[in-house]
Amino acid sequence: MYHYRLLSLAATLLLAGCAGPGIYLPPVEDRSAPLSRAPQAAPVEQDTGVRVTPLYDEPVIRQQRLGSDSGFSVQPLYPSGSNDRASDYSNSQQGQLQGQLQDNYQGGGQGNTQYGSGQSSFQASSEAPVSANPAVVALLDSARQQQGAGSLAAAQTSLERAQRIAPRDPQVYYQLADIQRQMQKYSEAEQLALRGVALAGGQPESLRKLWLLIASVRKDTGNLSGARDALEQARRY
Amino acid sequence: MTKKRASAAKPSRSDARRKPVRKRSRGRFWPSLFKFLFKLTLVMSVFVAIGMAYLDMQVRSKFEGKRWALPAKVYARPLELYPGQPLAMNDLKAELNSLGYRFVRSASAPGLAEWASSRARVHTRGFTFPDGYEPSRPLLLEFSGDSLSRIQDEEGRTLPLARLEPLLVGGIYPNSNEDRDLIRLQDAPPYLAEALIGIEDRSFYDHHGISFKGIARAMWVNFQAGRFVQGGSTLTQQLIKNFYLTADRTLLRKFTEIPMAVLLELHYGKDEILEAYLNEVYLGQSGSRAVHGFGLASQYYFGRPLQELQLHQVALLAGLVKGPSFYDPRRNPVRAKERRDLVLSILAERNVISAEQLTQALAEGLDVVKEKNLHKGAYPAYLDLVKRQLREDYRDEDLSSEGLRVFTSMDPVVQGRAEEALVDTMTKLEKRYGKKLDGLEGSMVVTDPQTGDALALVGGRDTRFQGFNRALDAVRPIGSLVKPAVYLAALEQGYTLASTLEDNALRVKLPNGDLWEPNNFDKKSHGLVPLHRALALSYNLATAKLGMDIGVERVVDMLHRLGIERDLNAYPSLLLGGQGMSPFEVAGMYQTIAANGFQTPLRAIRMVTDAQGQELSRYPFQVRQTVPVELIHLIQYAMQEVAREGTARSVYQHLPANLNVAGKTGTSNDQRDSWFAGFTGNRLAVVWLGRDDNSPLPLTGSSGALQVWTDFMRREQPQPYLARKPDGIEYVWIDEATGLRSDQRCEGSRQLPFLYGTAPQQAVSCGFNDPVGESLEWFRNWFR
Repeated sequence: MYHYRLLSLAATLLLAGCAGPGIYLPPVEDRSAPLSRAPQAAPVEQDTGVRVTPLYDEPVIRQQRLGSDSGFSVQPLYPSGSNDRASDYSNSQQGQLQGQLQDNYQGGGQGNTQYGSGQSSFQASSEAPVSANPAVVALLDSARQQQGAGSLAAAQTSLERAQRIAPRDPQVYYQLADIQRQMQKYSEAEQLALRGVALAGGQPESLRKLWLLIASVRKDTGNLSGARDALEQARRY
Repeated sequence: MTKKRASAAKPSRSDARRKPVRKRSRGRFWPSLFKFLFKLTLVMSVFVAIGMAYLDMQVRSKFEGKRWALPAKVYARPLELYPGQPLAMNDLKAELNSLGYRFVRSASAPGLAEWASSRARVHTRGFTFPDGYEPSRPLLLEFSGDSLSRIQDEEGRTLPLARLEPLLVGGIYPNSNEDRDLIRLQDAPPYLAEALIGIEDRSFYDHHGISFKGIARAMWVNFQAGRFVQGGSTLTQQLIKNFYLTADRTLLRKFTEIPMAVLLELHYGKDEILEAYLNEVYLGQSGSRAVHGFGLASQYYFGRPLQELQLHQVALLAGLVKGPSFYDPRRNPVRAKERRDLVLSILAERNVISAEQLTQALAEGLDVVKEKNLHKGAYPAYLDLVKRQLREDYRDEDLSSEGLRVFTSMDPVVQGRAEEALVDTMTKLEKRYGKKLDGLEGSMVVTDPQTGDALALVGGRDTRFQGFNRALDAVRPIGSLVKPAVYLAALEQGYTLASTLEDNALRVKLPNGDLWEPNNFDKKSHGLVPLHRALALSYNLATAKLGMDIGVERVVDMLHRLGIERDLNAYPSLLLGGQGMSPFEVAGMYQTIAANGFQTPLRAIRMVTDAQGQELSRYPFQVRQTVPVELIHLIQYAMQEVAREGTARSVYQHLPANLNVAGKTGTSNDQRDSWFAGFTGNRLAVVWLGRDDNSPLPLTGSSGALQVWTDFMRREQPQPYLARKPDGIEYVWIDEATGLRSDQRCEGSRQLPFLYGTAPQQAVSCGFNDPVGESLEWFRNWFR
């Protein structure tokens, strides 16, 4: 019970941090492994930027050392449980996570205070899951219809329009790749799908589809071991 | 050739007409003369007939064939409108202004727009795109903040997407430099034909090519006025003159003109002739480009399509026919207004317009747009890039005569900001440095790193200058811009961001016996430094040593994989950017880094169609992965550090802290070149500053090019860069001093990304009971 509260509190914090009216999307680190079971923590384009934190901006909880002569005590990683500070170590994982949540929250706050007014447009575009953008939905739909009707070039044009609106939407790359595959431009198709994979981190459904497409493209070109690898990848999701 | 033969035929005809008059004579001598003359006349008639047949053929073939060489039209990207789009109302207004929209109280017709505080109604003009027709329709646009929140059509239905017509930014002209936009007669605005006929040829609809009444009236009018105010030639004659004959005013030409005019009238209707006239007539000169036809003249003088012109504007254009230079409304506004008012009064006199319309139109100003506000021809550097790419696939004569339509990725808004940022910052720098910066030049390339679209290109300080295009042709040493390639190659060879490098004096003996002895910018060595710091602070010695260690060939290979196509010599000096490259090449290289290791050719052209909109060629989005995503993630981290704590840290004085800029400064030897290349989420820009004569500057990459870059991004308000952590990457807290594992709670530790399994195996502990001392200062000194 307590865990659920903690989790939902964490999720609320995360969402609150991102829902601030700051224009620039707060860079949220995707270190969400422990949170993965949280209910729909973030929408698709709630991107997980990794951010370089200036060394001296980090809140220092412990000073590293006393004086120049004290030297370092180099220790093996993960000391055995008998260590006095074992409990500290085991807590550290959780501490890290919380620290990040706090970071995210601060990131959002910063956006608010410094650049809040007049720039909120960026938020609208990047916070809404891009695939839910009606323009992209419409373009993807018409691309599908055009593809179905055999006008591949037209479909490609529609998809490139969609790409300019939502350049990080894996679905766009999936469909672009699929059209290239249909045009029998296999190497282009594979590369486009791989580009989609690079953008689809954290979206298992998209990743599975993209890898399946890659597998089928590789099979078409006779690269059977490559196809097997791709299938292997697809099975992971 | 044809003209010579036409004029050769003519004297015979005039002889033939005169001779028979003298034939009435008597005597024995006379009959034989008569006989001779008769024969001569017969022969002459045959010649005349042949001549006429020839002229007739000429008249018909030119009129029925392809009448004009049509220059290729180059369009900017169309502005897409969709809910959620980041678009400030002012940016939309700027776009509409460049498209020549008029801002009125009620947008009731195409080309009009209504403006309120958070909504706008725009009546679009419609456009036939190669992928479909965008209808002309009124759109109600609602804004919230700086983004478009809703689009509705006339019936109040919400639209997911609409596009404005693309801005015409240039053309590719034939050698004659004639430019025109073809129009059909039915596209002409009201009163244009009447005004033209009224001022140039009142009996146009009654005569058969030549008008004796017209000549007589012209003489009378001229006599009354005491000077030459009206010419006697008909519109048909004028068309013949412009269309078929040379410009020299010889009697010979006059005599060819008349029969040709009659022939033309014989074959074709008045409306056809009028339409040809509207498209042919010369109406002005824009630099070396000759403005022909009313369609183009409307754009040239008023910045909007002909159909949308108002009465007073139509009258001005009609008045220009007689002397586009003499009545040039930009240079001779008083004369132009007099002439316009004359046209208006003739219209009123002939009861085409009412007295009320006359007074209203007379009260209007000339309304001519400034030539420098015109977009056509305003972007020579970008157009240069487009032409070069086109010439790979098309012949010059097709480009300049077939009326091809070229759709590009050029974004006029971004282009405008890039130009302003470059010019303004250079002016500021000059104020600060005074004479030391005389002759400073610069160039800039802006792309969208996600799509590979080339959005803007600035070729020099004089952004309208057609000559040297520095963005493409100034090949200059790139200095430290090469370092990301060096470090990428090193990371691929097993180095990590936490690897310790030696930043100490270095001497390399070159094959030719020379000694290569690089130095740091501050002429100091910094001892042991972590790899990511060496990049962030741009240490030359550490980089040179690293590069020599992994081998220069590996760096060359990496540069090629990042998209550099030119031949590179594996000299050690390459490691510090001795190699020259153009800003455009550098943009291609950084593009690959920004796109997670996927090489994307920079695209200026999206599609080429013929004059009817049929697709001829397309340049689709293509990618090729050349560097693993994980390695790119590492280098992106270090390049973000450049902006957070390294040589480019001044960016965050002007830009939002969460923009996550990744980039690299570059300064070539003796500070001859100042570079910055960097990207955010949706914009990548490369800036170069330097002198054409390659002399040293008082600028580094940070104090020069970076300032331009920052100013540009400040105007552009791009989206932040969000590096997604690839699967094969883990983040580990590292103690800065030792490069070993540490803990978040320990001072001097930071999280660094590692390929799985490459993070250090050992850790240092800060312990939790240590008393707090002055170690902070101590620790800072550790790095300095």
